Amino acid sequence: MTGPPAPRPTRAALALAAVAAALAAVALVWELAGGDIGVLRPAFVALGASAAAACLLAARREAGALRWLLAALGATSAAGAAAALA
Amino acid sequence: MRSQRGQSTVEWTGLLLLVAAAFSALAMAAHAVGDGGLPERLACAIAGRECGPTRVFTAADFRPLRGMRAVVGVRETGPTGLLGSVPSALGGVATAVPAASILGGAGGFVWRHRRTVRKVAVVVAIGAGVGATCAAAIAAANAVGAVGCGSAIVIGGFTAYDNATR
Repeated sequence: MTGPPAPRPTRAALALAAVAAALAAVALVWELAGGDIGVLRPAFVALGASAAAACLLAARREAGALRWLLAALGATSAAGAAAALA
Repeated sequence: MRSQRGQSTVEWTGLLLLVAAAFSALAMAAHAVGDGGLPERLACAIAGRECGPTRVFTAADFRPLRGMRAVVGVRETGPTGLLGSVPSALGGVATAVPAASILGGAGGFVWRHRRTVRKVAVVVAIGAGVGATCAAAIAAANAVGAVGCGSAIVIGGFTAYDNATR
């Protein structure tokens, strides 16, 4: 688990994806507990879309496995946001 | 050269995931559409057995077009000439289903099962995304990969649950 520090766009994209994942986890726990997630869904859509855009933009600057990772994470976030919106 | 080591592994993993996702979608679609799943159909096709009716479309899809006829091979030129009313091989009349009706039937089928199609599409997209993210994270083997894989799993889990319950 070592390596050079990630550039700033990659860290920002990853932070957005991590926040979106945390929000998704809160929404999942809330819904499993029987509550209505209400305003959490639009927030997740907005965060997921932002994370997707940031990841896809950061993927252009990276190379190798990190490029694949960011592209796949961006696609996952975009699909998640779109599915939650629909 | 060191930074390029393992890249082909990632590419092959991505390709493998893509093929696996495509086969999963095909199998799920065939299972949702027909009587029995894809394995039964494959077994019937390979063994040459007489299988039950495995029509994808119901008769209702083609009902408005039943009895439509089209002349195949020759233009309509009035009287048939020396042969009179005897139909030749090229001039035979064949019952045909226009391509537009098949497309219409497929569109109708997709529209009837749009919820299932949507759920399958979302699950395949999320599964492929999570799989590709974590495969790349293993190849990258750093903290960025670990956070990315974890994020993809949580986002994918919530989306799959939300998709299944709506």
